[in-house]
Amino acid sequence: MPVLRHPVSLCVALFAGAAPLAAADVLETVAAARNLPFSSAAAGQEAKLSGVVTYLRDIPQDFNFYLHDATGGVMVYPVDRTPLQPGRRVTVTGVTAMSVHGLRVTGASVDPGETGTLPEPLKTTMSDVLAGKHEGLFAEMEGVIRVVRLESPEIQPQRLALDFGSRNRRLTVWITRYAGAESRFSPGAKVRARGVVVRWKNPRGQTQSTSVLVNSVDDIVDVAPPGVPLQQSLSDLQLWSGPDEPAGRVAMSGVVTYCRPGDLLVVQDGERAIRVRPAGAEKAAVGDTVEVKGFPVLGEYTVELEDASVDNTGCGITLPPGVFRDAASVLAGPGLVDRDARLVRVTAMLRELRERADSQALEMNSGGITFTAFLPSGAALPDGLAAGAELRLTGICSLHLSDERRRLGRPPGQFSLLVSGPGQVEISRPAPWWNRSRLLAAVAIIGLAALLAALWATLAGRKNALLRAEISRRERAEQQLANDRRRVAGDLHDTLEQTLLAAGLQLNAAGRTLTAQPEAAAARVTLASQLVARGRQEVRDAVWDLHAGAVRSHSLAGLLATACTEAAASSTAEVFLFTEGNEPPLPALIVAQSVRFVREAVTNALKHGSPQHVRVTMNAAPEFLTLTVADDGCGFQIANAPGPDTGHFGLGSMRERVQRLGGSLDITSMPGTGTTITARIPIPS
Amino acid sequence: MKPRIRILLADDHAIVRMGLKTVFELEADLQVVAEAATADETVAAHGACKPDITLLDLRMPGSGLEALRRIRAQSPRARILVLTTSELEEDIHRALSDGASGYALKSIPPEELAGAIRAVHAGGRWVPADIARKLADRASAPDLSPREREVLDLVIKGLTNPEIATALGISFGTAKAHIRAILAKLQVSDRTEAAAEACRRGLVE
Repeated sequence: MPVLRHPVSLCVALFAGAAPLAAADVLETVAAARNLPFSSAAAGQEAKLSGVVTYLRDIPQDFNFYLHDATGGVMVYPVDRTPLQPGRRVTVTGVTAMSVHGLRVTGASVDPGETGTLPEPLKTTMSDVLAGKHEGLFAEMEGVIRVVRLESPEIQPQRLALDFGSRNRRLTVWITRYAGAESRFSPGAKVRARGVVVRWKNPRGQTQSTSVLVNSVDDIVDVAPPGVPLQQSLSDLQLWSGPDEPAGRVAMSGVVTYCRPGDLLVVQDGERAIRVRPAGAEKAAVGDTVEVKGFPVLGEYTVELEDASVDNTGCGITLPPGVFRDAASVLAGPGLVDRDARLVRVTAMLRELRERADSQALEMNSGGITFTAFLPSGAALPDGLAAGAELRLTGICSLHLSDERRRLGRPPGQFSLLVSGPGQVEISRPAPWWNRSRLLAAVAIIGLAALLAALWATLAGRKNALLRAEISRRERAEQQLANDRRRVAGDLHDTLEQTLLAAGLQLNAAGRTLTAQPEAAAARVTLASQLVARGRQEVRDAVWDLHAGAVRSHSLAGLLATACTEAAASSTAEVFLFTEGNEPPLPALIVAQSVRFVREAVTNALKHGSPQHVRVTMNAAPEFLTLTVADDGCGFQIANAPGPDTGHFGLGSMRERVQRLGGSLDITSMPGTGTTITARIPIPS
Repeated sequence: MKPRIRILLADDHAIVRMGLKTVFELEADLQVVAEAATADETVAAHGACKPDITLLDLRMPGSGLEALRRIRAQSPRARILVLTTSELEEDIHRALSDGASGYALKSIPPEELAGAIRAVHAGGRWVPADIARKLADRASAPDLSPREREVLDLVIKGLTNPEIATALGISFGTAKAHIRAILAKLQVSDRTEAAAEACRRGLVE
């Protein structure tokens, strides 16, 4: 009824346009509070509610109750403990809040009223309750008990819990007072329960679980006893037609092929196997024969049994595992559905081993299919279990159906393997010596070695090159020294030796004519002494030439400049040097002889011509070196030039010197016009 | 009076020619009829004045040996006495095998030189005793092949083996083989010694 359901809106409508009254904001019915938007309710709205207490939670660490009025029920958290009983009328004043229990009225002052009886519960079904209806209401519903258990001992006094519905649609009935009645209930029994519907929420108000809070065991009424569960063969059981069919309790027996304590058992019976989710910590080990009573439910792909009780009946033997040469063949061919939960043996290569919190995961690959084999954490794995090893694994085949394949109606395209322990892991071929990290390491080592080798080779090469350079430098130096020696030796042969020979011949002749021709003898002695003087000059030249590097390390132009400066020093005349052309590299012999030629020519000019200027020109054309010494002195008649027989050796020796270099000497002179001497020396290519 | 021995003086050193002329003037039977300072001049002078004896220096522009060969080619009966400072076996050997009648060193006393001129003029050969001994040694030593001479020349110029191979257009191995042969023939142990020995013997310029 709109008016009742929306009292706040009604008030707002009634007083629209007028000043809002504070009293109009106070919520007066449960429905009004429940109709608040989440944020308004969470922000806190004043509420003053009257109704009957339907459920009371009165333990040392907690005190609250549910209030029920004509419009609904809500949880109340009073400020103070007030002695109350279910059925008591109360009026509470507080503010709304959102909590783990959903809407509540908190900070409430409680005004107890008369004691009465509980209201008639709302008749409903578990399906409706699970669908989200009747929150906070006092309701009554029927259901088949799946599990009977006690609340976790952390909260005292413990409550008795009865679980109804499959695990994914679970409804739990919490019984506050049950003293001595634990054994009254057993799985499979049908009961009618009466209590307050509660939903635990997350902070955003979304339901996490649904419960019914029951004050006393007296509020549970037996409807039907558990009866004998339907004993079924596994093949029949596996044909269970799904969640639409009421899930009656069934029984089956078989041999345990896998056990994850408190969580999962796999039981095999002949060619078939099934996953069993035990209700509690069931005692069973691989190889035990067990009788299982549980509720069928459709698992990921095939039927499982949940909320199962497991009775150990002895030891048994299972069929050997189905053997598959690779992972692809596990998923191939008909009979795939029967392979789910079956023990299989498959050969595959280990790609990676990962430690997880609750297991050890072996990432495997074979036949182009990747799968994971899970081993219990802490299980000692066989030695040599390394990536690249080929393993033969025995375990429970768990088929996985992807959402995509589920939509398209395709069979599972993936599986994982649940391996009980290391005994089911067999290394059929050890990991090759190379794996990725070792290969990388090997490559790195080889690379490093190559790098070092290259470095060493480079260093050695550099050292070698240095040594070679040093050797060739020394060889060159030795060669130059030998060249110098040869040049000087040749020079001494051509000059000093001849000069001394000539002097000797003159002295010999003088000696033989001393008495017969004394004047001629005296002239010969004079000539000899002049020759000796010349010899001394030649020795000086040779010594100059021997000075290491004098010829080699200077340009001809530089040496000529020095020679000119030295010659001019002892004279009043000026000596100029002109160089034309770029001086090519010249053989040391040419350099040495050129310097001597110029020195002798300049000396002669200064000595005999009395010039004011001497001009030395050096022209280094590519093929010829032309040296000209010109003076503005007195000049002479070439035909009458004094010769060696009068002690004038200069012209002759200059000419000989130039001729020995393959060149020619040209003298131009006239009395009064000065003298020009030109030497033209070929430069060997 | 016996006709004087007509002499052509071939030496590129004017002062030496002057000295020799001076001493020959003291000998009644010797007469310097011509002088030359280069190979060309020598050949020309020999052709022009047909001397009885040519006193020839080996070391002169155009090469004394060259002049010797050309004169002997023109006048096979020409009598030539080599007068030089070179004591190199190779020079002596070459000069005598190319037709020189005698080989005198410039260190010879002038009187002895006059005797040598007379001996050669008389039709004899004149070689001093120590040079004759060197010749005998030379005869027993194996000659370098022309190719080995080329290689040796390059060794002395300071070329390395690969450079020699490249310069002569031969393989590196062949160049090495030539050098081994040269070292063996010169009886030396390395290239530096080979160069020194080659200079001593006058195998290279």
